[in-house]
This record gives sequence, structure tokens and C-alpha cells, in this order.
Amino acid sequence: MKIHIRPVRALSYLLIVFGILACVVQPSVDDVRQHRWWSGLGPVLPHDTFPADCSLCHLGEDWHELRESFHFDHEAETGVALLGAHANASCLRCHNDRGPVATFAARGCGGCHEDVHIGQLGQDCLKCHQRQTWEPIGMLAQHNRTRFPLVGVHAATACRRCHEGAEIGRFKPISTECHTCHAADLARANNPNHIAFGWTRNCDDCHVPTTWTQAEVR
Amino acid sequence: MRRECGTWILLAALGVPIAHGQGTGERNEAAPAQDAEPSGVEKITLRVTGILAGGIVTIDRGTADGLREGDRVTLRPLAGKPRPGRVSRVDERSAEVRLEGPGGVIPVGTRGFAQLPAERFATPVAVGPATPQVDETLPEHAPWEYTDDGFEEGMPLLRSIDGVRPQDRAPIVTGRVFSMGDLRLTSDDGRKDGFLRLGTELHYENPAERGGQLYFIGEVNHRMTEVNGQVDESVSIGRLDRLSYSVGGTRFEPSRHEFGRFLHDGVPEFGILDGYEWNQRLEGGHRFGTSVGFLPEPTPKMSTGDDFAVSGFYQWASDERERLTATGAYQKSWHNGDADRDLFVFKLDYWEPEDWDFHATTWVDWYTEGDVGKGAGPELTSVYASSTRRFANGNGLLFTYTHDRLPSVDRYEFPVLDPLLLATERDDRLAGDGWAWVRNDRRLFARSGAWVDQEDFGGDLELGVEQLDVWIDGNRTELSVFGSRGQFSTLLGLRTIYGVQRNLLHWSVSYEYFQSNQIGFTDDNDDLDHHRLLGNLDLTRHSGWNLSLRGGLERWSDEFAGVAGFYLQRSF
Repeated sequence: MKIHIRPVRALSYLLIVFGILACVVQPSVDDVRQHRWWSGLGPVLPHDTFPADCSLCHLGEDWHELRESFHFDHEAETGVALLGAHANASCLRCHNDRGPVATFAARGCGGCHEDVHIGQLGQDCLKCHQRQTWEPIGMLAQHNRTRFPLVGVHAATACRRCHEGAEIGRFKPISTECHTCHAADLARANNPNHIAFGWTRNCDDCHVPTTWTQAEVR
Repeated sequence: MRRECGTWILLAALGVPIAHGQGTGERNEAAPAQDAEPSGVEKITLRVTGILAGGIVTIDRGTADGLREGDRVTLRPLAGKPRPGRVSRVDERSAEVRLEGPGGVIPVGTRGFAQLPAERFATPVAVGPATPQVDETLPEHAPWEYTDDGFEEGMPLLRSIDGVRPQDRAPIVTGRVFSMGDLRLTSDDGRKDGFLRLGTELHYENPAERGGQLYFIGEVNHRMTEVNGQVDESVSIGRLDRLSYSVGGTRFEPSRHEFGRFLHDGVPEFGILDGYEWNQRLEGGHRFGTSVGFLPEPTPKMSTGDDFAVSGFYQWASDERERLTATGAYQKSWHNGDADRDLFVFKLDYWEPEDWDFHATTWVDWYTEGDVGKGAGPELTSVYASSTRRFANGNGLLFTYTHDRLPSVDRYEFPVLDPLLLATERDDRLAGDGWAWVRNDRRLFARSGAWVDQEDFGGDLELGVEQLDVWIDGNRTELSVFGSRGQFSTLLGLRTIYGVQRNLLHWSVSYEYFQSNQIGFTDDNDDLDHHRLLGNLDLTRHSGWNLSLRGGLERWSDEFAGVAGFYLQRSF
């Protein structure tokens, strides 16, 4: 499917659609309370150390609803800080039917979150992601630790231009040989004709990655 | 406390002599030993449950706990000195305390104590055991229909309560909508690269009250690249990342089924599947499972239908906490009907959360004579092994080893390579990171690594310091120097980062300078001075909104580049 779309118009469309969706799915004020209680799951949270008076936190006859003013300092009470987006998550996102949350939490991010990198990038998610929105951070510094530091125009290139599966979290496998990504550029190099001269490898003998269109030739 | 009072009454009813201090160890686990209290004084622990105007807080103790108006209370906030107060109003199970003296805000949850006269707890002692009165005229109760999970004869009635079954609870929908965009410009001939995304993630829990999970994750996006004024790429794509229904895999149901498009649950290393997966948890935490279906291509379109696969796995667990697990798995795939890949995955995981952990995953391909660039037999395609050692003072060490070879597969996974490269390409890397707190607010860190491939070798080293709260609380400053020898170039540079973290706001700026030198060049025109300035701002609202903005400028040689991006998300 190839469709040519003007970027500004595409951005406008996207923002309009996003606005509509965000408004449509916006729940009532009651539903967005930070610590939403779902009556269905029952008391899966440990209450052993809680205050004796249930009404300090709960409303109603069945205790399924929390007071508007309810606040729970997870770090002070349990010794486990809720960082990033976890601070706004409802209790039952973690304390639920799957089993004891400590078992899953002990396994790090992968205890609860799917590994879209299918194990190829290790267990330490925070090496590349920030906690709140999970957006990647510090990728250029990380890449400089590989055998292919990003120099010149490579540092200003979108990840997906080399890692075709980057959008779905797949960064491997890939070769560092120039023609892996620049096969089309090699075919277009007619002045002089690189292929005719047999110049199909070791591009770095003559080129440095300063620009896209004009090589620096020694 | 309420339980403690009940214990006293029960003891009294049974005629047990109650000596002063007996049983006070159960009053609250946080309370100090009774022996430490002055004679004639009882110490009760308490907790702040609310903040009122006028320097008044509410606590979770009342007359039922022996509290009276005018009693002195001491609160112990985590930060700051103990704060005294006096009970100004008291109900049966709560009280208001007027704080005294200077001090900051006392947060909800703050613990404290009150020392009360022991005579308030002197409960009248009943003589002789109570004789239960049985009304023999009561009709016989019909058999209970509700089955209490795990309850057996002999268990105390006041045991912990188990969760409600799926059929007894309501469905719920959670998820998010997000939009993000990036724009990159480079100076040479006005190269532009843009990427816009709009997506949503929906999670429908317990549909039809059967305890299942319905997932939908999808997006539409548009990418555009212009080179030298010519459109190099302009494509819009609609992508379905997940549409699946799963049921089971909970404490109620050890058997788990999922069908649709989803990431393998048992062995994620097998990737996304359009099909069906079944897992079964056994006694002791062991698991096994199987799957069948098509493998979407790992590309932005995720085209499907060309690659069919079946797989199976078995996971051994040391216990139900899964501190130590070992997994063996096999996946067989066919590309357009022809046999393609025989992939074995072996995993070993050990978790000791407070101490150290070890993880290793290996991918082994079993090739046949017909596989391009490979000989018949097994080949170690990839390894990712890591171990983290954590010390009590916050210091730590992390070691990582990776091994990668390009697999020979008919399925489309990466640009087609020539057989020579497929046969020889390899990359091994060993890295060691360490960090140590030299003060409460200062941390030193070092990152190092070494790699070797089929032609060359190299490595990297970074040394830095992180300082907290330099000018204002909640900020972070980092300064580091680094060097790297890559396959084509060497780097030497420094980086500084300044960031501020507030409850709902985070921003940071960073500057990096490095000089790169291309390996093999003899002239000087390969020395590039790089300057990189990056900034980002993240805003979060409790209502579920997130906004991130980021921008950067890069300059090298006579060229420069700029990048700007946004991320807007609404969670619900």
C-alpha cells in the first residue's frame, strides 16, 4: 500500500483523529481516580498492616469503593516505590488474578510487561526507556558503545532507516557492512562507475560519513 | 489494635490472668518491646490518615484504643524530626491531633505513637469460661453452595479472604490512545525525514465474565523522506500489533489459551504469532506449552501468511516463586510451504532480588545442506547473557555477554546478504558496568566493553560521576568522558546532562562533544568534531495525559542537523 500524503496535512489529520479519540474514550471523573478499585477482584491486596478502621479508605456497604480522598504511599507502606507511570496505575493492574505480585515484581519489568524485543536486548529496560511514557532515551550514547558508533550523518538518521524492524522493537539481526543499507547508493554511483571498477567493498577507504550526497574522498 | 482488644477480652472471658504488659507484643508489630516502656505506661502505635486545616491531622486510633482528648502524640515523619501533637477530638476509632511546634507538612501514612496510662487497658476479668448457649430450636441450615478457595477443615474461620471468581465480577476496559511524531532535517541539500503515528491500545478484562482478556493494539502511521528535493519515501501504513483473546493462566486456572495475533507467552523469543498457543502450569511452578500459526514478518507492515510455524517448550522451576527456571524450546517453520528454520531456544534465569540475578538465552539454529552460507548441523546463532550483582549500599555491577551471527532463513527478516557474509559475519561482545555511591548524593559509574567480529576488534570505556541536588532538590547532574573504537571509527569525547525531576514534570538537557577519526584514513579530513545538544520535557497529569517534547541540534564538519519530536498520550 503506497499512498502519497502531504506531511502537514497528514499531521493535521492525525491530530484531529487523536483529539476525537481522546475525547470519546475520556471516562468520567470518577473513573480516572488514581486508585480505582474494581469490586470484582476482591481483596487481593494485602491489608494486614492497614489501619483498623476500614471506613478511613472505603465507602459503601460492600467496601468496594474507595473514598475520593484516599491516598496510599506505596513506598512508605511497603518499601517499594512506584516510579514513573506506575505511580498513576490502578492498584489492580499489578495486584490481580495472576498471583502474588512479589513473584512477578522480583523478575523486573519482564515479570509483568511483554518483551517486544523478544529477548534480544536483555532485561534492563531502563537502559533505553524512560519510565513515564516508555519513550527511548540516550540511544545515541548507547549506540556509541557498539562496533558501529554513529558518526556524521548516521547520528542524524532515524533508527528505522537501518533497522527495518525498529518500529516493532526488532533491532537484530543487521550487518554493519556499508552495502547492507547503501546497496542502492552503490548502484547509483556512476561518476566514476563503482561497480565497473569493482569498488563494492571497503567504502570507508575513500568515504567519510559527512554528507548524504557528496563523499569526502582522500 | 482492634484485634488486640479482642484478644484481651477473649483472654478475660477464658479466665486467663492478665498481667501487665502481657500480649502487648501483638498490639502492633511496629511497637517497641514492652520492656522498654516505663512502668504504668502503655505505648500504642498509630498512623496519620488525613490532613485537616489549621495544623490538625487525623489518626487511626480512638477511644477503643485507649485514646482520650488531651493525650500527647508523637509523629515520626520519614524526613525531618519527630513532631509532637495533642489529641483535640476523639471518636471511637479515629482522632484529631493538633500539631505543636515548628515543622513541615506531615504526609498521610506517617507513623507515630502515644504513651497512655496502663490503667485504661485494665479490662474487667470475667470468672470462669463462657458456656456457649445453643438454641436447639434453630432449623438446620441448608448446605453452603459457595466454595471457599483452598479452605479445609481445621482452618481458622478468620483466615485471609480469597479473590472473587471471574463470574462474580464486572468487566473493565483500560488502555491508551497515543500520537507521536518526529521530524529530522540535515543541512546537505535539505534532507528531510518525518514520521507520524497514531495508535491505540485497548485491554478488555473479563469479557462475558469468563475471566478472559481481550487485547487490541494497532496504529496508523506515515513516513516521509526527501533527499535533495526528491521524495525518497512516502508511505502510510496501518498496522495491527495485537488482536487476541486469552483465558486462564491465573491462580484459578493453570491452563492458558490465547488465539489471534499476539506475542508468544511461553517463549517470547519465538516472536509474534497469528495463531493459537496453549500453556499449562504444573504443580511446583513448572510449565509446558505449544503453539501453531503464522509468523508475521518483522517489518513495519507485519505481513503474514508466508511463514507457518509450530513450537513447543518446557520450563522447569525450582519452586512456585520461580527463583530458578530453565527452559528448552523448539520452533519449526515453513516458508511458502518449504521447510525453513529449525530453531532451538534455551533459557536459564535466576533471581535473587535483593542480591543478584543471572539470565542467559541462547538461540541455536539447526541447518541442513540446503541452507545458504551454512554447513549442516547446529550453529549458535545468538546468546544474551547478563548478571547483576547488587550491594546493600546501592552499589552494583553488571556483566553482559552477547554473541550474534546472521541466521540463514528463507523468511524475510533483514536485507538479503551475500552467502560469504552470511557464512562469516559474527559479533561477540563482553561488557562490564559498575556504579558506586561515594556519598549520599554522589555516584560514580564506569561502563566498559570489548568486541570482536570476523575481521576486527575494539571496545569502549566511559567514566562518569552523577551528582544529585546540585542547586535545587530533585535535580541530577551527570558528567562523563568516553572513548570507543568501532569497526570504522574511533571516538573520544565528553557528555554532560542536567535533569530535573518533579512529581509530574521532568526535563533535561544534555550536551555532548566528541571527536571521531576514521580508521584507515591517512589524511586529516577524516577528523570530525561533533557537537550534540539535546533537550526533552515530559509532563504528566493524574487524569491520564502525558506530553513529551524533545529537540536536538547536531553539528559536525560543516554540516548540521536538527530533530524535533512530540509524544501525546491519553491513558484511561
